[in-house]
Amino acid sequence: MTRPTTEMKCAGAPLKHAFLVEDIASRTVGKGKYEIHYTAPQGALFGVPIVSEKVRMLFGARGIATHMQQTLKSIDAGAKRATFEKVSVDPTTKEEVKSLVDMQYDYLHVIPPQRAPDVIRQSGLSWADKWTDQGWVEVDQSTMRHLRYPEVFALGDVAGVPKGKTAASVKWQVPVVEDHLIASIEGRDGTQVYDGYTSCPLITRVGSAMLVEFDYKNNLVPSFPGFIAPLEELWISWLMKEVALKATYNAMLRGKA
Amino acid sequence: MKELTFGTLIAVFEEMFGRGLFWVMVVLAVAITAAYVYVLARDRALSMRKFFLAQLSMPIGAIVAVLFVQIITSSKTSDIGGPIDVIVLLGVAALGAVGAAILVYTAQSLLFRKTPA
Repeated sequence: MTRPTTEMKCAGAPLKHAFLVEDIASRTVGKGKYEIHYTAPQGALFGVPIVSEKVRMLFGARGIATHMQQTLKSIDAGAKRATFEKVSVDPTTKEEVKSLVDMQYDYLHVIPPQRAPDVIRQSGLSWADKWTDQGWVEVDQSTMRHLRYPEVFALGDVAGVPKGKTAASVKWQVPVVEDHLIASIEGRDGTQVYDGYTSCPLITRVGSAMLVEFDYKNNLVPSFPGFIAPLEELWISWLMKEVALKATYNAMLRGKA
Repeated sequence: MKELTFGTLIAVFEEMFGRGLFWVMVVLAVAITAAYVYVLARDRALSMRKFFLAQLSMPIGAIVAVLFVQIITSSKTSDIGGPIDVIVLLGVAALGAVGAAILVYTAQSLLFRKTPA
Protein backbone atom coordinates (compact mmCIF):
# COMPACT_ATOMS: atom_id res chain seq x y z
CA MET A 1 0.00 0.00 0.00
CA THR A 2 1.47 3.35 -0.98
CA ARG A 3 0.64 7.04 -0.86
CA PRO A 4 1.88 10.02 -2.91
CA THR A 5 3.64 13.13 -1.59
CA THR A 6 0.89 15.41 -2.90
CA GLU A 7 -2.42 16.43 -1.37
CA MET A 8 -5.11 13.84 -1.88
CA LYS A 9 -8.86 13.79 -2.39
CA CYS A 10 -9.19 11.41 0.56
CA ALA A 11 -6.21 11.03 2.87
CA GLY A 12 -7.86 8.02 4.49
CA ALA A 13 -8.22 6.05 1.25
CA PRO A 14 -4.89 4.14 1.38
CA LEU A 15 -5.51 3.32 5.07
CA LYS A 16 -8.98 1.98 4.28
CA HIS A 17 -7.55 -0.07 1.46
CA ALA A 18 -4.90 -1.59 3.75
CA PHE A 19 -7.51 -2.42 6.41
CA LEU A 20 -9.89 -3.98 3.86
CA VAL A 21 -7.21 -6.10 2.17
CA GLU A 22 -6.04 -7.34 5.59
CA ASP A 23 -9.61 -8.13 6.66
CA ILE A 24 -10.40 -10.07 3.51
CA ALA A 25 -7.04 -11.90 3.51
CA SER A 26 -7.41 -12.90 7.17
CA ARG A 27 -10.80 -14.45 6.43
CA THR A 28 -9.79 -16.16 3.18
CA VAL A 29 -6.16 -17.30 3.06
CA GLY A 30 -5.79 -16.98 6.84
CA LYS A 31 -3.53 -15.12 9.26
CA GLY A 32 0.21 -15.76 8.94
CA LYS A 33 0.05 -16.51 5.21
CA TYR A 34 0.51 -12.92 4.03
CA GLU A 35 2.43 -9.75 4.84
CA ILE A 36 1.07 -6.24 4.41
CA HIS A 37 3.36 -3.21 4.26
CA TYR A 38 2.12 0.37 4.28
CA THR A 39 4.49 3.02 2.96
CA ALA A 40 4.02 6.79 2.91
CA PRO A 41 6.21 9.84 2.24
CA GLN A 42 4.74 11.60 5.28
CA GLY A 43 5.95 11.21 8.85
CA ALA A 44 2.55 10.21 10.26
CA LEU A 45 -0.18 7.81 9.19
CA PHE A 46 -2.87 10.52 9.22
CA GLY A 47 -2.83 14.33 9.34
CA VAL A 48 -4.83 14.49 12.58
CA PRO A 49 -2.51 13.30 15.40
CA ILE A 50 -5.14 11.58 17.56
CA VAL A 51 -6.46 9.65 14.54
CA SER A 52 -2.92 8.83 13.46
CA GLU A 53 -2.22 7.27 16.87
CA LYS A 54 -5.42 5.23 16.71
CA VAL A 55 -4.51 3.94 13.24
CA ARG A 56 -0.98 3.13 14.46
CA MET A 57 -2.48 0.98 17.23
CA LEU A 58 -4.90 -0.75 14.87
CA PHE A 59 -2.14 -1.42 12.32
CA GLY A 60 -0.06 -2.90 15.15
CA ALA A 61 -2.90 -5.15 16.28
CA ARG A 62 -3.60 -6.27 12.71
CA GLY A 63 0.07 -6.88 11.87
CA ILE A 64 0.31 -4.24 9.13
CA ALA A 65 3.94 -3.02 8.97
CA THR A 66 4.49 0.71 8.36
CA HIS A 67 7.34 2.42 6.53
CA MET A 68 7.12 6.18 6.88
CA GLN A 69 9.04 8.76 4.80
CA GLN A 70 9.23 6.40 1.87
CA THR A 71 8.10 7.61 -1.54
CA LEU A 72 7.37 5.22 -4.40
CA LYS A 73 9.75 6.05 -7.27
CA SER A 74 9.59 3.17 -9.72
CA ILE A 75 8.06 -0.24 -10.33
CA ASP A 76 9.60 -3.22 -12.09
CA ALA A 77 6.41 -5.09 -12.92
CA GLY A 78 8.26 -8.06 -14.45
CA ALA A 79 10.35 -8.64 -11.31
CA LYS A 80 7.43 -7.59 -9.04
CA ARG A 81 9.67 -5.07 -7.33
CA ALA A 82 8.86 -1.54 -6.15
CA THR A 83 11.60 0.99 -5.45
CA PHE A 84 11.16 3.67 -2.82
CA GLU A 85 13.16 6.73 -1.86
CA LYS A 86 13.63 6.68 1.88
CA VAL A 87 14.42 9.85 3.83
CA SER A 88 16.23 9.38 7.13
CA VAL A 89 18.24 11.64 9.43
CA ASP A 90 21.89 10.79 9.94
CA PRO A 91 22.33 10.38 13.73
CA THR A 92 25.77 12.06 13.77
CA THR A 93 25.50 14.91 11.25
CA LYS A 94 21.70 15.40 11.72
CA GLU A 95 21.42 15.81 7.98
CA GLU A 96 18.75 14.28 5.82
CA VAL A 97 19.98 11.25 3.94
CA LYS A 98 18.13 9.84 0.95
CA SER A 99 18.50 6.21 0.01
CA LEU A 100 16.73 3.76 -2.29
CA VAL A 101 14.85 0.79 -0.85
CA ASP A 102 13.51 -2.15 -2.85
CA MET A 103 10.46 -4.12 -1.80
CA GLN A 104 9.09 -7.26 -3.45
CA TYR A 105 5.34 -7.50 -3.91
CA ASP A 106 2.59 -9.82 -5.09
CA TYR A 107 0.01 -7.05 -5.00
CA LEU A 108 0.84 -3.34 -5.09
CA HIS A 109 -1.64 -0.55 -4.45
CA VAL A 110 -0.58 2.82 -5.87
CA ILE A 111 -2.27 6.18 -5.43
CA PRO A 112 -0.84 8.46 -8.11
CA PRO A 113 0.32 12.02 -7.29
CA GLN A 114 -2.63 14.39 -7.56
CA ARG A 115 -2.87 17.92 -8.89
CA ALA A 116 -5.40 20.44 -10.14
CA PRO A 117 -6.64 20.02 -13.74
CA ASP A 118 -4.72 21.79 -16.53
CA VAL A 119 -7.42 24.42 -16.95
CA ILE A 120 -6.85 25.53 -13.35
CA ARG A 121 -3.06 25.34 -13.45
CA GLN A 122 -2.94 27.41 -16.65
CA SER A 123 -5.47 29.99 -15.43
CA GLY A 124 -3.13 31.89 -13.13
CA LEU A 125 -5.41 31.20 -10.17
CA SER A 126 -3.04 28.82 -8.37
CA TRP A 127 -0.90 29.55 -5.33
CA ALA A 128 2.52 30.89 -6.39
CA ASP A 129 4.37 29.80 -3.25
CA LYS A 130 2.46 26.75 -2.02
CA TRP A 131 1.81 23.38 -3.65
CA THR A 132 3.63 24.74 -6.73
CA ASP A 133 3.78 21.28 -8.32
CA GLN A 134 0.03 20.76 -7.76
CA GLY A 135 -1.59 24.08 -8.64
CA TRP A 136 -4.48 24.28 -6.18
CA VAL A 137 -6.44 27.56 -6.31
CA GLU A 138 -5.26 30.38 -4.02
CA VAL A 139 -8.28 30.89 -1.78
CA ASP A 140 -8.90 32.15 1.72
CA GLN A 141 -9.37 29.04 3.82
CA SER A 142 -12.36 30.36 5.77
CA THR A 143 -14.36 31.94 2.91
CA MET A 144 -13.10 29.92 -0.12
CA ARG A 145 -12.75 33.29 -1.89
CA HIS A 146 -9.75 33.88 -4.17
CA LEU A 147 -7.11 36.05 -2.50
CA ARG A 148 -6.30 38.05 -5.65
CA TYR A 149 -9.59 37.89 -7.59
CA PRO A 150 -12.44 38.45 -5.10
CA GLU A 151 -15.06 37.50 -7.68
CA VAL A 152 -13.60 33.98 -7.91
CA PHE A 153 -14.40 31.19 -5.44
CA ALA A 154 -13.08 27.64 -5.40
CA LEU A 155 -14.32 24.66 -3.48
CA GLY A 156 -13.86 20.92 -3.43
CA ASP A 157 -10.82 19.23 -4.84
CA VAL A 158 -9.30 22.26 -6.64
CA ALA A 159 -9.34 24.51 -3.58
CA GLY A 160 -5.93 25.30 -2.12
CA VAL A 161 -6.81 24.78 1.52
CA PRO A 162 -5.06 22.47 3.98
CA LYS A 163 -7.90 19.97 4.30
CA GLY A 164 -11.19 19.65 2.57
CA LYS A 165 -10.96 17.94 -0.78
CA THR A 166 -13.68 15.44 0.06
CA ALA A 167 -17.39 15.48 -0.76
CA ALA A 168 -18.11 15.98 2.95
CA SER A 169 -16.03 19.17 2.86
CA VAL A 170 -17.91 20.37 -0.21
CA LYS A 171 -21.19 19.86 1.62
CA TRP A 172 -19.93 22.29 4.28
CA GLN A 173 -18.23 24.69 1.83
CA VAL A 174 -21.24 25.21 -0.45
CA PRO A 175 -23.37 27.16 2.09
CA VAL A 176 -20.36 29.41 2.88
CA VAL A 177 -19.69 30.17 -0.79
CA GLU A 178 -23.42 30.73 -1.37
CA ASP A 179 -23.53 33.22 1.50
CA HIS A 180 -20.53 35.20 0.23
CA LEU A 181 -21.74 35.14 -3.40
CA ILE A 182 -25.18 36.47 -2.52
CA ALA A 183 -23.65 39.04 -0.17
CA SER A 184 -21.34 40.23 -2.97
CA ILE A 185 -24.23 40.59 -5.41
CA GLU A 186 -26.15 42.59 -2.80
CA GLY A 187 -23.08 44.74 -2.09
CA ARG A 188 -22.45 43.62 1.49
CA ASP A 189 -20.03 41.26 3.24
CA GLY A 190 -20.80 37.60 3.81
CA THR A 191 -20.68 36.27 7.36
CA GLN A 192 -20.40 32.50 7.11
CA VAL A 193 -17.07 30.81 7.80
CA TYR A 194 -15.78 27.39 6.78
CA ASP A 195 -13.81 25.86 9.65
CA GLY A 196 -12.15 23.11 7.63
CA TYR A 197 -14.76 20.48 8.47
CA THR A 198 -14.26 17.22 6.70
CA SER A 199 -15.29 13.69 7.39
CA CYS A 200 -13.61 10.39 6.76
CA PRO A 201 -15.56 7.21 7.37
CA LEU A 202 -12.40 5.25 8.07
CA ILE A 203 -13.33 1.69 7.15
CA THR A 204 -11.42 -0.84 9.24
CA ARG A 205 -13.18 -4.05 8.17
CA VAL A 206 -15.98 -5.10 5.84
CA GLY A 207 -18.76 -4.22 8.30
CA SER A 208 -17.10 -1.69 10.60
CA ALA A 209 -15.70 1.82 10.38
CA MET A 210 -14.71 4.84 12.47
CA LEU A 211 -16.69 8.00 11.70
CA VAL A 212 -13.79 10.45 11.88
CA GLU A 213 -14.73 14.13 11.49
CA PHE A 214 -12.26 16.96 12.04
CA ASP A 215 -11.43 20.59 11.19
CA TYR A 216 -8.43 22.79 10.26
CA LYS A 217 -7.18 22.71 13.84
CA ASN A 218 -7.12 18.89 13.91
CA ASN A 219 -9.93 18.92 16.46
CA LEU A 220 -12.40 16.07 16.30
CA VAL A 221 -15.87 17.48 15.57
CA PRO A 222 -18.27 14.53 15.84
CA SER A 223 -21.76 15.05 14.38
CA PHE A 224 -23.31 12.73 16.96
CA PRO A 225 -21.33 13.29 20.17
CA GLY A 226 -22.19 10.79 22.86
CA PHE A 227 -23.80 8.45 20.35
CA ILE A 228 -21.25 7.66 17.67
CA ALA A 229 -17.72 7.65 19.06
CA PRO A 230 -15.27 8.88 16.39
CA LEU A 231 -12.39 6.59 17.31
CA GLU A 232 -14.31 3.37 17.84
CA GLU A 233 -14.76 0.69 15.20
CA LEU A 234 -18.54 0.62 14.89
CA TRP A 235 -21.15 -1.09 12.76
CA ILE A 236 -23.34 2.03 12.70
CA SER A 237 -20.48 4.01 11.12
CA TRP A 238 -20.21 1.34 8.43
CA LEU A 239 -23.98 1.41 7.90
CA MET A 240 -23.92 5.19 7.43
CA LYS A 241 -21.09 4.92 4.96
CA GLU A 242 -22.59 1.96 3.13
CA VAL A 243 -26.19 3.13 3.01
CA ALA A 244 -26.36 6.90 3.37
CA LEU A 245 -23.18 8.65 2.22
CA LYS A 246 -23.17 7.88 -1.48
CA ALA A 247 -26.90 8.56 -1.59
CA THR A 248 -26.32 11.92 0.12
CA TYR A 249 -23.59 12.92 -2.32
CA ASN A 250 -25.74 11.90 -5.29
CA ALA A 251 -28.55 14.00 -3.84
CA MET A 252 -26.04 16.88 -3.53
CA LEU A 253 -25.38 16.64 -7.27
CA ARG A 254 -29.11 17.13 -7.82
CA GLY A 255 -28.94 20.19 -5.57
CA LYS A 256 -31.19 18.51 -3.03
CA ALA A 257 -28.84 17.93 -0.13
CA MET B 1 -24.83 16.61 8.91
CA LYS B 2 -24.99 20.37 8.83
CA GLU B 3 -28.69 20.67 8.19
CA LEU B 4 -31.09 17.82 7.69
CA THR B 5 -34.41 18.93 6.25
CA PHE B 6 -37.32 16.69 5.29
CA GLY B 7 -36.66 17.44 1.62
CA THR B 8 -33.03 16.36 1.99
CA LEU B 9 -34.11 13.15 3.67
CA ILE B 10 -36.53 12.31 0.85
CA ALA B 11 -33.85 13.06 -1.78
CA VAL B 12 -31.35 10.84 0.03
CA PHE B 13 -33.83 7.97 0.31
CA GLU B 14 -34.66 8.31 -3.39
CA GLU B 15 -30.96 7.96 -4.18
CA MET B 16 -30.59 5.04 -1.79
CA PHE B 17 -33.30 2.79 -3.21
CA GLY B 18 -33.93 4.38 -6.59
CA ARG B 19 -36.87 6.75 -6.96
CA GLY B 20 -39.32 4.08 -8.15
CA LEU B 21 -38.60 1.47 -5.48
CA PHE B 22 -38.60 4.08 -2.71
CA TRP B 23 -42.06 5.41 -3.54
CA VAL B 24 -43.44 1.88 -4.10
CA MET B 25 -42.22 1.04 -0.58
CA VAL B 26 -43.74 4.20 0.86
CA VAL B 27 -47.08 3.45 -0.81
CA LEU B 28 -46.99 -0.18 0.42
CA ALA B 29 -46.21 0.88 3.99
CA VAL B 30 -48.98 3.48 3.95
CA ALA B 31 -51.43 1.00 2.37
CA ILE B 32 -50.74 -1.73 4.94
CA THR B 33 -51.01 0.71 7.84
CA ALA B 34 -54.25 2.08 6.42
CA ALA B 35 -55.62 -1.45 6.00
CA TYR B 36 -54.71 -2.20 9.63
CA VAL B 37 -56.53 0.87 10.87
CA TYR B 38 -59.44 -0.04 8.57
CA VAL B 39 -59.87 -3.56 9.98
CA LEU B 40 -59.58 -2.28 13.55
CA ALA B 41 -62.28 0.28 12.88
CA ARG B 42 -64.43 -2.24 11.01
CA ASP B 43 -64.26 -4.99 13.65
CA ARG B 44 -64.48 -2.51 16.53
CA ALA B 45 -62.22 -4.79 18.60
CA LEU B 46 -58.83 -6.40 18.60
CA SER B 47 -59.34 -10.10 17.93
CA MET B 48 -57.20 -12.01 20.41
CA ARG B 49 -56.97 -15.07 18.18
CA LYS B 50 -55.59 -13.02 15.29
CA PHE B 51 -53.41 -11.08 17.66
CA PHE B 52 -51.95 -14.37 18.96
CA LEU B 53 -50.87 -15.44 15.46
CA ALA B 54 -49.55 -11.92 14.85
CA GLN B 55 -47.46 -12.19 18.02
CA LEU B 56 -46.06 -15.54 16.88
CA SER B 57 -44.88 -13.85 13.68
CA MET B 58 -42.98 -11.15 15.57
CA PRO B 59 -39.73 -13.08 16.25
CA ILE B 60 -39.69 -14.17 12.60
CA GLY B 61 -40.16 -10.57 11.47
CA ALA B 62 -37.35 -9.46 13.77
CA ILE B 63 -34.91 -12.05 12.46
CA VAL B 64 -35.85 -11.44 8.82
CA ALA B 65 -35.36 -7.67 9.26
CA VAL B 66 -31.91 -8.10 10.83
CA LEU B 67 -30.80 -10.59 8.17
CA PHE B 68 -32.12 -8.30 5.43
CA VAL B 69 -30.14 -5.32 6.73
CA GLN B 70 -27.01 -7.44 7.22
CA ILE B 71 -27.20 -8.91 3.70
CA ILE B 72 -27.75 -5.62 1.87
CA THR B 73 -24.93 -3.92 3.84
CA SER B 74 -22.41 -6.84 3.68
CA SER B 75 -22.37 -6.96 7.49
CA LYS B 76 -22.34 -9.72 10.09
CA THR B 77 -23.21 -9.91 13.78
CA SER B 78 -19.53 -9.86 14.78
CA ASP B 79 -19.33 -6.29 13.43
CA ILE B 80 -21.18 -5.08 16.53
CA GLY B 81 -18.57 -2.79 18.07
CA GLY B 82 -20.28 -0.87 20.84
CA PRO B 83 -23.55 -0.13 22.69
CA ILE B 84 -24.89 2.06 19.87
CA ASP B 85 -24.54 -0.90 17.49
CA VAL B 86 -26.60 -3.11 19.82
CA ILE B 87 -29.26 -0.39 19.96
CA VAL B 88 -29.33 -0.17 16.14
CA LEU B 89 -29.61 -3.97 15.89
CA LEU B 90 -32.47 -4.06 18.42
CA GLY B 91 -34.15 -1.16 16.63
CA VAL B 92 -34.05 -3.01 13.31
CA ALA B 93 -35.38 -6.15 15.03
CA ALA B 94 -38.17 -4.18 16.74
CA LEU B 95 -39.23 -2.57 13.46
CA GLY B 96 -39.26 -6.00 11.80
CA ALA B 97 -41.31 -7.49 14.63
CA VAL B 98 -43.91 -4.73 14.67
CA GLY B 99 -44.09 -4.69 10.88
CA ALA B 100 -44.64 -8.46 10.75
CA ALA B 101 -47.31 -8.30 13.46
CA ILE B 102 -49.27 -5.58 11.69
CA LEU B 103 -48.94 -7.37 8.35
CA VAL B 104 -50.08 -10.76 9.72
CA TYR B 105 -52.95 -9.29 11.74
CA THR B 106 -54.21 -7.24 8.80
CA ALA B 107 -53.85 -10.13 6.36
CA GLN B 108 -55.88 -12.43 8.63
CA SER B 109 -58.59 -9.82 9.12
CA LEU B 110 -58.91 -9.11 5.43
CA LEU B 111 -58.70 -12.72 4.23
CA PHE B 112 -60.62 -14.65 6.93
CA ARG B 113 -63.40 -12.35 7.92
CA LYS B 114 -65.68 -15.20 9.02
CA THR B 115 -63.23 -16.52 11.64
CA PRO B 116 -64.96 -16.27 15.03
CA ALA B 117 -63.25 -13.73 17.25
